[in-house]
Amino acid sequence: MSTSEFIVNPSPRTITLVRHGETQGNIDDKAHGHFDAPLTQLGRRQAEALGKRLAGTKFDAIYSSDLQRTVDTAKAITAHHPDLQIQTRPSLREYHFGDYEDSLWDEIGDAEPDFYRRWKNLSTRIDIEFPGGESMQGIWDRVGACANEIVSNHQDENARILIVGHGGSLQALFAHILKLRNTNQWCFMFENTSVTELYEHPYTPDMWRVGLFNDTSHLNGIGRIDRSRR
Amino acid sequence: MSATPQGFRLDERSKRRTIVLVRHGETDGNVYDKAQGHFDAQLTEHGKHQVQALAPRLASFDFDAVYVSDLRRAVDTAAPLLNIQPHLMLATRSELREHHYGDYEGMLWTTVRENDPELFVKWLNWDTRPAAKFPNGESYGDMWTRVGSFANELLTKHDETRTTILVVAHGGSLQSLMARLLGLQLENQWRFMFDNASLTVVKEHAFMPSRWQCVLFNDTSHLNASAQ
Repeated sequence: MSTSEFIVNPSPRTITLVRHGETQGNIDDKAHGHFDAPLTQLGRRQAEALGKRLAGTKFDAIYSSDLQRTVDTAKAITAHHPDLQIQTRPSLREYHFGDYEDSLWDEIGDAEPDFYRRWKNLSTRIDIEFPGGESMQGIWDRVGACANEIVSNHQDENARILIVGHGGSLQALFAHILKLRNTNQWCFMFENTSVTELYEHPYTPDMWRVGLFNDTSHLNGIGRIDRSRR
Repeated sequence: MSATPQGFRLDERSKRRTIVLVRHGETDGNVYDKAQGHFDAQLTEHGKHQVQALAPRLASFDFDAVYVSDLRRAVDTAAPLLNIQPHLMLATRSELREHHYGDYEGMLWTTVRENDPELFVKWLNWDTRPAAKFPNGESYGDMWTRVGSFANELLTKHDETRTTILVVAHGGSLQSLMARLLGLQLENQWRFMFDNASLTVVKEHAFMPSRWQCVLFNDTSHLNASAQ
């Protein structure tokens, strides 16, 4: 490879990742995965503030998990982009917690202390399989396949893609696109309606970098869950 | 970890410490795309505006310690915070310096490319970059090692629960530091682009002592239209 082979793409692609607004399960600290919870009143206000923040950005496509908390967050964005159709993907859903769906995490900890410990320990989490639900490897594979599909759907220079997902599915998506190890996906905490920006490298197509992670500056004066107590 | 309900939720061994990472304000080298590592450049006028806008944001944290690269652009970035909070002491550390580009210090990247195309290509390609050693300078493995020992020393020295530490450094040395703290691999570090006068926050995990999480990366919302 010689330096003359370097072609600088002046208009690399951008992917914006957004997590849904607040739900009651987020407040109560419940295992809400495929459980289809609506946004709270605060969650709707967060989504409206997010919609205003993104109103001036031109997107070529918007993808969302098909659960109502993500679709309703996506609708608050498309309210400012009437030409965009939300493309739903079940593969962007949150983890399927199986038998534990809609249980308090504290209750799961009391009932299944060994399981809970393996789940909370980030060194053993990758081997977790939720009874009646998904394995961490299965989630990693389905979200990865979705990431590949979305990125290859939009090959145009300058393409801007928006993806609305969940705390867990976005961690997997983020780690996939950046080619991090699957055990590193939990190093990144996505808050409700946070904005994350990924940019394609101008020299190297399909190589992505992070320009912004978990920005919630649009929520100033609106409120969010205090996670510091957890 | 205790099996009692309370001890079970939050591991008492976790110190829940916080580290705030800040990149220096703009310099000429950033504007003209120069190989600027140990080269001791100054902030531009624009860079000075940026660090003034950053200071009140930093003052909203209650820092227990402030570590700064000993290069002028990093020290000058921390200075406005000390005007607001004069009780803070700066600890300057050479381990936080930018990558040492050796003979190519201060050179335009386009000139490096013309003079030493082989090294330039090796550097540009992330698969070969870890071994790219600049003549009379460093390889990325060298920087990974020096920043890694600084990180270990920092975590050992500041062991108190809920300690909050500020680190002001450079685009490259912060990439290594963040990757070290999060337990990422060397080649993962270049995925994260730190802008001038940006703010990044990493926190110790609530349940897992010695594991760290990123909760904010490259936030520049404090830079208003004039300082952006």
